[in-house]
Amino acid sequence: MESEIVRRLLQGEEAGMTLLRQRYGGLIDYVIGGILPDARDREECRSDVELQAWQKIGSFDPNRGSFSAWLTAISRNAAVSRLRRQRQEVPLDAVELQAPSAEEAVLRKEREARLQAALRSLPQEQRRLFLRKYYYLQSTAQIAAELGLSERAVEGKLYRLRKKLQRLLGGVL
Amino acid sequence: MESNQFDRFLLDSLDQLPPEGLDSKAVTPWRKPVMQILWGMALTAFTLNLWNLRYVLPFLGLLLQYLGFRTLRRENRWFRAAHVLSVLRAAWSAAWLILLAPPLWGTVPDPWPAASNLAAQLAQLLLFRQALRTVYAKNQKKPPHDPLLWATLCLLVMAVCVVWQIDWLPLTVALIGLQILSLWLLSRVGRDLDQVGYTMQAAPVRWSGGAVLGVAGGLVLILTFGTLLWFSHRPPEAVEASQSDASALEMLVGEDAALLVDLPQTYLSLLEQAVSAQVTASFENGSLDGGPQVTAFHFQTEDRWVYTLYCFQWEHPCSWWGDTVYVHVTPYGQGDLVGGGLLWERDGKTWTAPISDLTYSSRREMDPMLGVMTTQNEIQGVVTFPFGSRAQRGYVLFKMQPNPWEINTPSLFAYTHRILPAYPYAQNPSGGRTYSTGRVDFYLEETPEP
Repeated sequence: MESEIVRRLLQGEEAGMTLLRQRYGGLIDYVIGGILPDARDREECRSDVELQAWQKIGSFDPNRGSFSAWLTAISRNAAVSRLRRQRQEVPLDAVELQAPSAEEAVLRKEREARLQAALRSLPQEQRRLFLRKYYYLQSTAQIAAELGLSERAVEGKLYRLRKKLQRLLGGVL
Repeated sequence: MESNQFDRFLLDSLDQLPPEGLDSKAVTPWRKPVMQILWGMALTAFTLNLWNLRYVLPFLGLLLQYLGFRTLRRENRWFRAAHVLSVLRAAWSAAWLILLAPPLWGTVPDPWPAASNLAAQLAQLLLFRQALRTVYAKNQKKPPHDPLLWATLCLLVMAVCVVWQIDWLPLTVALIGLQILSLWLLSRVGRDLDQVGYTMQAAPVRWSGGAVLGVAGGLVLILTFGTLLWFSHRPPEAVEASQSDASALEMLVGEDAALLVDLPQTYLSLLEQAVSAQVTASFENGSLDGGPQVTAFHFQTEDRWVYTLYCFQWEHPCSWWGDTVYVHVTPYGQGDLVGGGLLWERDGKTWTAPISDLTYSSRREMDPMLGVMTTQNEIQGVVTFPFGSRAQRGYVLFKMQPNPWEINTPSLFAYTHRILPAYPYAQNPSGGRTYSTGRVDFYLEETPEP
């Protein structure tokens, strides 16, 4: 099904978009819903995501990850971008367009590499918690409900996770 | 770095790049609760008859089902109903775990809980199925498969086979096959939910899953062992004892009359009617080494009644966990139990209490050696002394009147000593040893014909 959707989107077929909505509509709503509390924002953001999927399908590389992961990344970034615009921050796209200095770019690369290494060293449970909190931007209440934990327990786990990451990333910071 | 700054740093870093190997399927609202339900069903479906796992695993399974349904209880009314049922089943199972552990085993008929458990299991499967169908309907989709329906049918077929109780190897193999099939079908539920599961609503909880498992498991464990200890150590209600005057019996039993001062005066009055007596303090046929010291008294009255008294005494106090006294009376003539008592020293005083559950039973059965019907007379009682007691001792007194042509009244005294409290769910108490006097004979003296 996944390869069928990608093929149809690459060929510019409308049916590909229909299949994407059917198959991944729930996933897109779920990712956006954790970041944008307002229903209207979510609706608009969903349209943005579908548009980006249509336009950027060429950038999807199956060797780098699954289609659902790619779609998750698009949905997440679209929602975060919309949230920042609402809070009158610099939009994500604008940040990407700003050319960092050579020194900044090197430092950022190093920082990202260290973060990826630190994430790889985390146990699976902590890694998923990290993703929920910092990638999906889910609230503590949502994380707690979906993991069957109390909010206090989630806060405690996040506190320990932050401490661990700070220790692992100490040299970079 | 401050906490907020660090959070900002993490968020900014993730803006630049998605995390490596992002497994989007791992972050869902349904995966954890549904997997808890499925694992719970698997644990309740299969039993392992070793190390009490047949009790522990189903209980753990029911708790997991409860945790799963608890998270999904706000999704629709079917999940809510399944949640309520899971609470009832977990509570029911916990009560059973506690009730079945101590020597209450066998007091409740077996088929009843098995049948009720099966009915609840079927109901829960059907509720779960309906709940998932409602989720699909909410998304205006049709479920691609219906594994829960097939799992329910498997369970029904298994139930019918079990009710028939057919001991036939191909059927057993077929049942195991059905069980595996139903579990495989259950495992497909997760795969089927990939499309619609993201719309499920997780309900907030006050207690984390680990806390629920820990508290419920701990509580059941404490109550189970607490009940076990309670039933293993039930000291009788005691009163302060006073020594009786046994001097009248010194003529018949000599210095052994010192042992008789523990008996109530009413019993001594019965024994004072005796015209002859015999004391046995060493038992050549017995196995009393390491056990209590036992002395057997026989008193014969003028009308051929024989009063037999077994006195036992521990040198070191050790009888805390429901020891058993047993007397086998050889079936000649008629007989009856007079009484039995325990005595011990504590706080500088002597205490006494009746032997718990002391019973006399008589039953007719075929003697395999002689091929004739014989009467088996047995006396049994439970001996538990309070903690801190010393000089633990006791007695059993019974009477018999042999047939006119009999000249002997044989009997046997056995004492089963339990070193430890009962082990949970064990039908036979372990860690004990039985001491016996072997056969003790008393030959009647000639008495005038009545």
